Amino acid sequence: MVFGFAGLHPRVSFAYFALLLLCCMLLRHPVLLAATLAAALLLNLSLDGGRRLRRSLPAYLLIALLAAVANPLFSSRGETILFYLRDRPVTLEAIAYGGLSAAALLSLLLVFTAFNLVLDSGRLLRLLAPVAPQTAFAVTVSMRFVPLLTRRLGEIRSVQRALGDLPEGMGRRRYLREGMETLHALVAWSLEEALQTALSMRARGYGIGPRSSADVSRLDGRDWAFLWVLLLLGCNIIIGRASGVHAYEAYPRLEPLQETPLGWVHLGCYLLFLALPVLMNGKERLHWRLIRSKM
Amino acid sequence: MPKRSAERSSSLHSSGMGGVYALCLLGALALMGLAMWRRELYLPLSLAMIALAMLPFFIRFERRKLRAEELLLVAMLGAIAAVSRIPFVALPSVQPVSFIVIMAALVFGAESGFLVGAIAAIVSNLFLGQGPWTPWQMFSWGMIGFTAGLLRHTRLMGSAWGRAAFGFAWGFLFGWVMNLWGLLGFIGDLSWPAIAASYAASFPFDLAHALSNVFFLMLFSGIWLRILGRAKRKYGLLDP
Repeated sequence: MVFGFAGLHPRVSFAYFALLLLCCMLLRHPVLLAATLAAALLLNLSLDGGRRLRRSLPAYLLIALLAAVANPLFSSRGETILFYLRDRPVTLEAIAYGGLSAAALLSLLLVFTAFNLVLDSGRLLRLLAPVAPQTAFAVTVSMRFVPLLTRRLGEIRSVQRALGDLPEGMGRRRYLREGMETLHALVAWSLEEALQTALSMRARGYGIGPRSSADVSRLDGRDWAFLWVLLLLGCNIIIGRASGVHAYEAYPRLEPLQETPLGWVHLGCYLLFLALPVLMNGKERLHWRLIRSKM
Repeated sequence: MPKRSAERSSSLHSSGMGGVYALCLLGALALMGLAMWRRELYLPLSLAMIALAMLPFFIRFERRKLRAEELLLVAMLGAIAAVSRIPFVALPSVQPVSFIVIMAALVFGAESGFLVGAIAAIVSNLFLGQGPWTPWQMFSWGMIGFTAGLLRHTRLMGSAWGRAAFGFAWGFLFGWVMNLWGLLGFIGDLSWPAIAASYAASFPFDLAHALSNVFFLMLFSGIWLRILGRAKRKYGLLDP
């Protein structure tokens, strides 16, 4: 269902995600990172109830765990030595830094999950089309072939099975060979057809004049309002970060988490920025419930 | 595609592509310098570098007036490369994508090789979901195609052993480039032991990729060159 945040114009949601991904890469402050993680999780929940995330979360957690463990194993920077591992000091700061890196990595992966939910292939191509029409066209054509080729692969495989070429428990070499046989059949069949498609496209006038295109969606008032808020908050966040607000140093000794007045403003902006999509979705949901309750 | 290559190489200078290349190269070097100097922000800067490295290819592709056959061929080869993993699902990290990209590049040239690789990466990620790995995959597969295309008239790519060596080397290079985004972004203290450890951890996967490349190239490059070459001759996608 498309509503709330996912209903924004693709360009606007792309701008939001670009800024959010940049923040995942730039910010290393524990409070901001915790907020990012929580917001990315909430965003996934509010978009599809976390269904997409549930599939990949175990793998993501494993990657994050590896990143967290790797840092103290390879880095002995920091002053607070906790214990020695095979004559190498393991420091509190290195562990904390590893944890922060892992949190940043995890939030990046979570944000990408939400990105894929909001900007599906169709919307991404609509984004690409005005910038790079020929590339977008090639990708669209290529995408159209994928389901077709997948179906053909199934057909070729069933023929091979019927001929007894794919016995149970064949060795690895045989498996690779037969897989390649499948691909040969697929290539010879599909290449020929692609070129015939091209001939038919030319017969219908492809390449005669400039290609025309139409985009049905326009930036409406809500999109512009969102963009302005985004610009305002984004400038605050980026300029604040560039001038050193919330620049957290784990080395040589963990920095205490103190907030300056300027830091509070920065934090407020960032939290509002993170909350925008969740608020929008929440408002829509509430609206829907209230209308229904009146019926 | 190699057709009209004489015409295109003259348009390279007239349309200012040389300037674009130079700007992209300078920009990439400046970004690298910035990352080295500040010793931070490796991930966003490296992403920007990758984008700059791929930009000239896409600008050129956009500016070319493509025949329908050429466009369909690139799109179809990209789609074939993207689905080619399906018959090999039972063996993790064995995939013929690199092999198909190399074959496409050997027959249709460096630029088409780059596009087939990059489009294969885009398309398979459009189905599987984008991630921070998308630009790196586009770059790696694109570069496999580009380098194979550049070397296609050399003695190296003329012999089966040379092609196998090329595929073996790229099997590892691909894995190493793909390791970079994790290393650059999230291992705070980039040190040689950490880099070596990550490359050691990915060694079995890279080796499987490299060996499967060798296997495919040794046994099947002849038949693929024939299949693709036939399509090229039949539809006039010939070198002048």
